[in-house]
Amino acid sequence: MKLILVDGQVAMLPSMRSYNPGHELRATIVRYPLLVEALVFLFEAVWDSALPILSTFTGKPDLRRQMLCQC
Amino acid sequence: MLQPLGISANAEAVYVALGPMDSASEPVLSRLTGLSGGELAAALEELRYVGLANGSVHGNWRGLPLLDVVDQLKTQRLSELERSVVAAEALAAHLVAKGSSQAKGVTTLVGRDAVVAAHSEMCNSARHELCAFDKPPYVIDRIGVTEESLRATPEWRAMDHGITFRCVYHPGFDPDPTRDGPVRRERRARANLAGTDEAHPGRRASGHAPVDAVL
Repeated sequence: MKLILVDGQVAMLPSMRSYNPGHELRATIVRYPLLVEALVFLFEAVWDSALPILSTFTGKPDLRRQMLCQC
Repeated sequence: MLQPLGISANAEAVYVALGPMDSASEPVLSRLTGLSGGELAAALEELRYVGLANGSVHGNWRGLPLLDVVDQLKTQRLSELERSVVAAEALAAHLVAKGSSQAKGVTTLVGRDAVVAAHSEMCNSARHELCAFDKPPYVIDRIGVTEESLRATPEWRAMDHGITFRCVYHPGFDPDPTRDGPVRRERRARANLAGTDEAHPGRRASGHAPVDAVL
């Protein structure tokens, strides 16, 4: 997990470096409203630009996916 | 007598020489003990350091009762301990103050147990929606993963209570169909759980379990 947001009010961000072998797992919980709001904005921005995973693909080609596959 | 306490033989000799006298000058002590000037000075400094002798402005020295000295050393040691306690309490208060400032908005958790517990608690506290960034499930094919085991994850338990879960997987999505087995399995299980039809995933629809990926 790289980020989890709960009801747009609290966020948890694990330290990616702490996932490495020999490191103690660390995570930061953010409740400060302005920071959480920024993370929600980030999530929504990425969500809006995301594409459904292939297993949900129903046969109708997604233009963005096609474009990305051509690059 | 004093050597078992760590006092040197020369210092003990000087202390014994001082015992029957109210005070004595250095030449007298040197004569009584047979110590040279340097040896005597070192012995007197040693006695002064531990509180067994003190010197006057006139250059005379007098010994102090051993029991009184020990009591004084105890008092001094207790005072040092008390100062240490005060310092420790001040440090603790400082750390608590730092902790309270963390509680206002940002808290760092250390250790897998603490992180896992907080993650579970956060998911349990959700009332409407969970949003997440995560690595694609197929990156490491989790051997032995079943729908039952997935149901035990905090996100799934939240979904059991009607919480919407939106997840964006990490860039690097590999369309290789031979490696998306776990994705299909997880997606199908989630869709079944949320009552959605894979043919109509209904992104963002309330009560559904949409899963997105970034290409």
